[in-house]
Amino acid sequence: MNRNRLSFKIIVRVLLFCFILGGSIFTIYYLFARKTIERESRENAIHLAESAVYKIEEIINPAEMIPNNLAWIMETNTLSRDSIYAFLKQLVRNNESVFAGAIAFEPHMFSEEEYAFAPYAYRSGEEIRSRDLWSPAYNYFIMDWYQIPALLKKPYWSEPYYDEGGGGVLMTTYSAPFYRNINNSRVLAGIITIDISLEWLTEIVNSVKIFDTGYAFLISGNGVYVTHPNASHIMNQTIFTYAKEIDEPKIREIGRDMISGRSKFSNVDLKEIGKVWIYHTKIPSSKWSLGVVYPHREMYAGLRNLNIMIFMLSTVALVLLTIATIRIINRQIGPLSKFARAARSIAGGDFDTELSAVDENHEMKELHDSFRFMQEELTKYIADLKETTSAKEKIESELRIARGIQTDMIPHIFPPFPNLPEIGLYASLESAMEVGGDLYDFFPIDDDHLCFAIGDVSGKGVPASLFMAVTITLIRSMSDKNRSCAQIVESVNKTLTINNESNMFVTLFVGILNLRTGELQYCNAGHNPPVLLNRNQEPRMFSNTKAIPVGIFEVFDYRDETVVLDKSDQIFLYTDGVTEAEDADKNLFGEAALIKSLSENRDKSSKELTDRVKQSVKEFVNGHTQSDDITMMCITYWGKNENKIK
Amino acid sequence: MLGITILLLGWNDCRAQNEKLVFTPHWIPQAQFAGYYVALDQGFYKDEGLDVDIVHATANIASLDLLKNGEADVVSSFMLDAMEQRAKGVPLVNIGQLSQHSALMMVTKKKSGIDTPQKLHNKKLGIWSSGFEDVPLAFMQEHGIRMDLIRILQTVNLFLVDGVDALMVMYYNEYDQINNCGIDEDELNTFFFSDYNLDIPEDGIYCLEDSLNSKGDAYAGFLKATLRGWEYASQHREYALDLVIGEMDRAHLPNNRVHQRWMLEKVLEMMNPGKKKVTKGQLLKSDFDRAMEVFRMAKETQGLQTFGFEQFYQLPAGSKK
Amino acid sequence: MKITIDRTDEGFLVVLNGRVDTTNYNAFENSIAHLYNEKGAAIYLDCSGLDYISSSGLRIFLTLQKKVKVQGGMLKIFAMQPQIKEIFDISGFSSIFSIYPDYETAKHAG
Repeated sequence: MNRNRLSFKIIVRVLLFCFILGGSIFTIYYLFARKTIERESRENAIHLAESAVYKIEEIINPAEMIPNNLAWIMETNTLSRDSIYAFLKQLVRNNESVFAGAIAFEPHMFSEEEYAFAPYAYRSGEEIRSRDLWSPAYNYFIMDWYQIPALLKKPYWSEPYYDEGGGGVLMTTYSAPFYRNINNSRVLAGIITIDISLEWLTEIVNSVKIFDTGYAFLISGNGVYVTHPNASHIMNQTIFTYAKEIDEPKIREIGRDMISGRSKFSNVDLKEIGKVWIYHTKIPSSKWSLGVVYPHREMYAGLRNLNIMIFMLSTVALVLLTIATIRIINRQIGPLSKFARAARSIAGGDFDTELSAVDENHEMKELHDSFRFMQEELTKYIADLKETTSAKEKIESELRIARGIQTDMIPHIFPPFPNLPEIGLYASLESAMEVGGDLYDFFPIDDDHLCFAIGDVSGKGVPASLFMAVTITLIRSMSDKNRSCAQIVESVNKTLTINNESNMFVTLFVGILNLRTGELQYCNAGHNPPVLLNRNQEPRMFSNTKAIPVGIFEVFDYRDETVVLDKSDQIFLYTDGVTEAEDADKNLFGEAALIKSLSENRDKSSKELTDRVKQSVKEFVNGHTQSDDITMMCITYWGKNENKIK
Repeated sequence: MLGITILLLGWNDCRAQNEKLVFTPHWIPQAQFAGYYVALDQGFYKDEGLDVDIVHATANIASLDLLKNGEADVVSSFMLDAMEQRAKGVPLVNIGQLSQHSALMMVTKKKSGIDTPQKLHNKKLGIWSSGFEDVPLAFMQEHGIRMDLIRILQTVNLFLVDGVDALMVMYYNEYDQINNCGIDEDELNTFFFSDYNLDIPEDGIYCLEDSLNSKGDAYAGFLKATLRGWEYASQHREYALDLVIGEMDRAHLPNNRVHQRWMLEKVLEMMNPGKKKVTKGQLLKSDFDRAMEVFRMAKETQGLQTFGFEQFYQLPAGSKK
Repeated sequence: MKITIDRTDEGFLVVLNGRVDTTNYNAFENSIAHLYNEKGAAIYLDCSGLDYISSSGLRIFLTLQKKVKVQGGMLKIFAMQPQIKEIFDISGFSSIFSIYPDYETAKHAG
């Protein structure tokens, strides 16, 4: 599953990248190719137009020369009627491109008698004929070919027209004014004309080939179509009426550009053949204009085909790329899934899992080596951990044994003396750790004397417990019916102080109670003063001792003290674990609270009293960690005669 | 014998059924005469029992000349021309006034700066060689200016190459031609004579007084069918244009639909009385009076006949007034 | 537990701040251990900032006292807080140590 997802992701990204890259390249190529085609087409269009214009000018220019030359002759010579006719006929004969020629005189210019004279020579089949144009029905003075050059005083190319006489051939007339010097002033003498057929012009323009649907066309100075692939346009339409017909104002603009002689490229949509370029340029001599029409569709046809081919090739390439990529990726990341499986089994505890060897891929090899290293380290670490744990378990089990031993050292059967009705006794010891430094002990010395002790070794844990074991053993061994409390304490002190480099000390309270008299002899070596509970009085704490704990000074003067107990008096002994029990805010339980708890619970049996005090301490502490050993002992003295439930 | 007689009688009746009339429009075929073509093609003349032949005038021969020498029975003509002929003694009458307004106008190029009548003073005005100088002459007199009148045969080219400062054009014809030669409308200043109190009706139908008296019914029928034809043309313009194009092609005249469409549209507009209180197809007396005024201003009327409205304009008998 | 030890004209001034209990008594001993070797030094222990002391801490005080005595110097403790004084009283340590109410008294005492 994972493998598939990864290879899928890679493939998608690679393909996307290829796609974008390919798309960008393609776009750039396409735009570039388009631009190139456009540029070449433009150049081609210009070239075609210019070469057509050149060919046209090649014929027009010489033709233009004729009237100009003739004008000079007329100005400088006076010819007779017959000579003029002959001259004109020769002119027409000599110039193939000329269809006819005329010299039209101003009124009375040729001869005083005649109002007008316009000799005219023209081709008629194989012959050249001539006649006089002028007649009342043919008032040439108000015709364009005469009137316009006469008024404007410069040569004029006429608008195209159909020659009626010559069988409907499209013609144009070139007119040039000529002058005479009369009375020292230059006066218009008349107009010389030549008529030229436009067939050759049509041929030149129609021979311009632009793909299949492109074409060239020619318009006159008024915008009249002189040539056009659509024959019905010729002479009928101007480029302006055509623009109105197809409702394309752009064509009108092009037309206006053309008749004002500008050369320009325009983009336009001709309904029949779609988007086209039109390049137009003027024919310098006649100021007519030539246009070439380049259809976009055909211009870009080659490009379009190329695009289709590229598109198909790209699709095939992408498919191949996809397949190849899938296979390559799967091969490369195959080991990954094997590693994944190995990792799982290692995690499961099988550290000896075999890692498949990898040679080719450097990154894979690195991964493999890291895995192997991790595997080895894990194995080592687990081994270390096992060792440490078993060592720790060993210590813990030994501590448990030590705890058992320590517990056995302290009397823990209650009630302890069923056959001694004079006293009730209960004690409890809770160490802070497995083993502790608090101690208590009680034992009868003889039938009438009970010896008891409570103590607190400085510190806690194993060190204190060792000292505690020594101390409790010493107390037992040093006490006999001949020794007083002070003597017991002195002996214990002397023994403990020797070889005590660590300066451990033990606070100790030893007491011997005379069961018959109720007299209590005691010696307090630096221990918390016990509390005396009397039926009629408030609990009273013994006074602070002046004696120091045992184990400090080898020689110290310990003294006995005595107090007499009444029947039902209780002594409550404790270590500082009770008064210095801490809650979470480091408040101490305190002596006042102890006194208060004792006061509330006197008259209770030793056990109940002790338990109650223990409970108060527990409530005060409220779950906070026990920092010191808590030890309590309560002795109730009933006296000889009483026999109460302990 | 009886059979032949009956046959002959029947034949005579057949012949008497369709009166032959030759109608001459006053210029070469174009949309200006679309209504007549339509009336013919739709058989409206036939409905009136007429067999009409349409023979166009040429550059050389005017329609009124053909009327004068009897080659045409009924013609159309420019009203001022007809008035001139009448004044010269030709006994013609107007039996129907189709155009109610003047389409005559002058144009100048904006770049010449001539935009008021005053600025036309001493400038060259190109006008047709075939006439039409009455209105501009009246205009010049009324505005106290004078212009050089340069006769032009047929084209607008002299104006296009700035050979003249101003040109007389028909709104329905040469005005559009200029536009079709690449000059935008906003490059021209226009002077519509109708804006200068010279809104004189133009195209009308004319025949000789005698003919009217003898063949009143025929002319009434002709007028009626003609008006029907024009009405039909206005409702079916593309069809009318088809007929016009056909006529022009047959006459080997260069043509295009765009220009003919414009012409038809404007000619039909001219036929609407507009603000004038006159029925379609009839001549308004006040128009006649104003035309006479112009005529007198423009022409030397010495030696010419005078005539009144009722003499000039006569509805054929049987026509509705 | 903060300890500062300064040399003064009189000797050493050790100022204690905080608690000495089973968690830090080792660190406490390490801080003052070099004083064990000072010959004939007078060591003044300012306990005005001492809030609590456990038996482990008392042990160190003891050790210090013993070592100082061996070197021929003296240990003077002053400005104990009441609850600390009480511990010293209960355990009888008050009779082992020289305890004074304040620095001046400690300095002028014999």
